[in-house]
Amino acid sequence: VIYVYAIGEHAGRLTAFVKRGVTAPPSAEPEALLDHDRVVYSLMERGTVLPMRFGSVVGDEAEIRSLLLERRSELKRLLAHVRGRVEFGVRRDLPAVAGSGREYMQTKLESQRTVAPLAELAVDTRVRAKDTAYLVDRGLADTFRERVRGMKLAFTGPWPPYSFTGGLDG
Amino acid sequence: VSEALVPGREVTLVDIVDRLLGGGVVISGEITLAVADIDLVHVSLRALVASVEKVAGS
Repeated sequence: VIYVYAIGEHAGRLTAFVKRGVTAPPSAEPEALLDHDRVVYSLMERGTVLPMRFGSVVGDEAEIRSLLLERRSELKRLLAHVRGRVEFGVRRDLPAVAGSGREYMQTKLESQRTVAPLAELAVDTRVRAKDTAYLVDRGLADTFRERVRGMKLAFTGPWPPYSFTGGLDG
Repeated sequence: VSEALVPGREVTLVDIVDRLLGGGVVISGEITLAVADIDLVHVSLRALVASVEKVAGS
């Protein structure tokens, strides 16, 4: 099979960044996860990419070409959206299910207080299970980091835009 | 497991698992054979994409 790391552009054309000669889809072992992360991050430093979910494989080249062709307008739109931008994750240490109504309101207000000052530095946000993802212009990345640190919040990144790939649970 | 794995990035293995398995483009749906102006680029892992080799155009 062919392992697909990311979709991007090469010489102005929609491009899949792949590894050939893979015998089976990799299991989610640390080494394989780190490999995927490093490769996609390196690709992002060279150009605009949409990361693939870990473990994405196709049978052959025709399959990936067809996939890109079928979804080309969506993929090109997403690539334009993430161009020149990186993702940061900012953790929310909030209960997923709040006990009382009052607790819920406090949680919601607290969440709004932390999100708004960060969202104004981002072009897009996604609420994820454990954190909120912010899509930030590279030029504003340092400013964003400083603001998060100033707010005493824990963050991760910069990431390739894993949460801005249009996936159902991305 | 809280020290940074990657220089210059605030990233732990737990964060990587969360991002890589919860995000990214998902391959789905029916695949039909077609010709496109799409390139495939072979990623050389020898130096972690120090070189990206183009192997197929159309």
